[in-house]
Amino acid sequence: MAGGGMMRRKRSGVAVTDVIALILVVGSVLAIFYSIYYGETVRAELMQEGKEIYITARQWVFQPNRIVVKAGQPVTLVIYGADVLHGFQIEKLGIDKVVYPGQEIRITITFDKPGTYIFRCSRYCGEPYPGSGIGHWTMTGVIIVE
Amino acid sequence: MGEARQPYKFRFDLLTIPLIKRIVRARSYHFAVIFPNFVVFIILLVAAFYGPPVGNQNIAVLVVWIIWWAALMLVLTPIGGRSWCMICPMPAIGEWLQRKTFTRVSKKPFGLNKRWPRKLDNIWLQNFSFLIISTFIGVLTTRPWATGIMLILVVVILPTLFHLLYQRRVWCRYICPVSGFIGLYSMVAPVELRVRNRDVCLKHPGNECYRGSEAGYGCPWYEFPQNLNRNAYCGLCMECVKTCPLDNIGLFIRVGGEDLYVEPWHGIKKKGLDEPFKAFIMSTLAIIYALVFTGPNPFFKDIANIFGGNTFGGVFTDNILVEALNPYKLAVYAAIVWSSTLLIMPAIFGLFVVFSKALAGWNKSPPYKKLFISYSYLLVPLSLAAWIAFALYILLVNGSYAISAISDPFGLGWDLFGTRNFPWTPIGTPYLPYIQAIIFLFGLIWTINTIKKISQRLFERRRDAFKASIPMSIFALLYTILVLIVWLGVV
Ligand code: SF4
Ligand code: SF4
Ligand SMILES: [Cu+2]
Repeated sequence: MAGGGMMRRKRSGVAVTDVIALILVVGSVLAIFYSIYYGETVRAELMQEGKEIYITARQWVFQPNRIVVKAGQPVTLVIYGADVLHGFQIEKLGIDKVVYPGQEIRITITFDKPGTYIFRCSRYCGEPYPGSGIGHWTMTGVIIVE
Repeated sequence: MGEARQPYKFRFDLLTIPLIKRIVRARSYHFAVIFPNFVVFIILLVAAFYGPPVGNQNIAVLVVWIIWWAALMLVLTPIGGRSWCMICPMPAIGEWLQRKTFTRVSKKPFGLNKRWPRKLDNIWLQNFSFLIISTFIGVLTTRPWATGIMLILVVVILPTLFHLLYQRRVWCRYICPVSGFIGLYSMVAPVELRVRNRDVCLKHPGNECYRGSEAGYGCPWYEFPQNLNRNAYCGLCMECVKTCPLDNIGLFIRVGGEDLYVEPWHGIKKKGLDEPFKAFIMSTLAIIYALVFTGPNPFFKDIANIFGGNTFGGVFTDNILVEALNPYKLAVYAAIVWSSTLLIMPAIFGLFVVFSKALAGWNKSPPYKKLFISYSYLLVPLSLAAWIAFALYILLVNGSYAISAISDPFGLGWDLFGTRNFPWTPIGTPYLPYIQAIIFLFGLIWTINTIKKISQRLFERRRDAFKASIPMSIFALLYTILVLIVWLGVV
C-alpha cells in the first residue's frame, strides 16, 4: 500500500524519525531555557551601556545588587517587580517608590558626585520566619558612582 | 440490529481521501501533531514560574484558563470531538517512555505494565480530578505559580507515572481531569471514528486493532473499534487506522448520530452512574463558574479566591506570595462545589425523573435507574450551551490580555510580536447578552429534541414517551431560565 504505516528501519538500528523526534524534543526544551538565559544577558549588556539599567526585585534580592555608573550622566533605572510588592528606596537622594508585582517603574537620575549609594526595599515583602531579621530586611543593593 | 437503523442525515468518510489517509497512517503522524503543543505547554510551564506573577499578565494563566478552555468548549470538542486528545501533549512524555520510541512500534512496553483495576473501569476518578481542580479554580486563575504546579502535575509527573505503572493510556481513559467532559461533549460532535462495516470485523478473528501489530499499537484507549458506537472514549489517535489489516476503519464527518441515546459497547458494558454524574458536575459548574468569574455576586468571587485570606492580614499586607491559605473560605467554597454537583443537582434531577416515571405510568415504564441514567444525557446539549456562553464571555472580555502577554512570556522586557503594550480590549460586549440568549435558546431546542429521542427509545408506546418527556422538558426549561438569570439578569 502506498504510504503505508510500516516504518523503514534496520533490524537493530534506530529509526531516522526517532532521531529527528528526539532532537526536536530535547532541542526545543533547551531552546526555551536558552532563550531565557539569552534574554537575561541582553539585559545585562544594555546595562553595561549605561543608559538603562534593568533591576529585578524579587524575594529577597535585587538582581543585580551591585551597579556601576558614571558621574554626571543621566541613567534610567528600570525596576521590575517579579513576585510580590516591593519598594525601591535611595535614602541619600530622598527617592522612595513602590514596585508593584508584574510592573516596571522607571527612575531617571543623574549622579553628580562620585560615591556609594545604597538602595533597599522599602515595603515589607516577607521573611523566611517571623522576626528573622533577614528576608526583606536584607534586601539591599549598592550603586557605585565613579 | 444497530446496523439496520439509519441514524445519519449525512455521512462522509474522510479516509476515502487518499492524502488524508496517507497522512494519518504515517507512523510519525501522532508525534507530528503532538509536538507543537508539547512545546507550547513547556513554554507555559516555564512561564508560570518565571513570568509575571499576576494572573492577567501571565501567559500560562491566560492561555490555560482563557484560550485553551475557550478553544475546548467552543471549537475543539463541539466540532472536533476528541480532536484535542489527538494533539494533547499531557500524556506525551509518559507514552514516549512507555513505548521507548517516538514514532516506531515497540513490542515490549517499558514500565510495570500492570492491568487497570476492574473496579475503576469508569470515569469516577475523572469526576473527582475535575472537582479537585474546580475547588482550586480561584487560586489557579489568579496565581501563576499555582497553574505552574498544576501543569507540572498534569503534563509531567502524573501521566508519566501512570504510563510507567499501567498499560496503555489509563491516564487518559480514567484519570485526566478534562477527559471526562471532552468525552461527554464529543458525543455531539459532527465527527466520528467507526468501523466501516461491522460484519467484516465479526468475520475477522485477528483483532489487531485491539491487540496491536507490526503496524501499530493496540488501542491505547482500551476501545475495541468494532464496538464503537459513541465518541466518548476514542482518543482519535489513529493507531487502529494503521493496524487494521482489512482497511475497515473510517473517520466520518456526520450529521446526526446517536451517541447520546445508545448503550455503549453494543450492550456489552452497561451504562453506569459515572457518566450521569459527569453531566451533573458539568451542568452545575457551568452555573457556579459563571457566578465566580463574571456574575455580579462578590460573595462567590471572594470565596473562590481562597488564597486571598486575611488570616495573617496584619502581617502580610499587600503580599500575594506569602499569603496564607484561608481554611474557612476554602472549606465553604469546596462545600459549595462538591455538594451542589454531587448532591443537589442529582437530587433535583432525580425528582424530575420521578415525575416522568409517574406521568408515564409507574408500573409500565422501565426501571427508575434506567430512566435516570438515560435521561441524564439530556444534560449534554443543555450544559454545553451554558459552557459555550461562558467560554465566549471569558474569551471576548479577557482574551485580549493574552495578546499583550504573548509578546513577553517570561517577563524579560521582550516584544516578540510587537504587541507588548496591547491594551485590554473587551470585544463585542454590547452584543454578548444577545448572542448568549440565542445560544441558550438553541441549546433548549436541541435538548428537547434529545429528550424526545431518549424517550422514544425508553417507551414502546408513543403516548407514554410523550408523557415522560414533559417533566424532563420542564427541567431543561428551568435550567435554561436559571442560566439566563445568572448571565443576563433577566427572567
Ligand atoms: S484524555 Fe486528557 S491527557 Fe489524555 S489526550 Fe485527552 S485531554 Fe489529553
Ligand atoms: S479506537 Fe482507534 S483511533 Fe480511537 S483511540 Fe482506539 S486506536 Fe485510537
Ligand atoms: Cu522587598
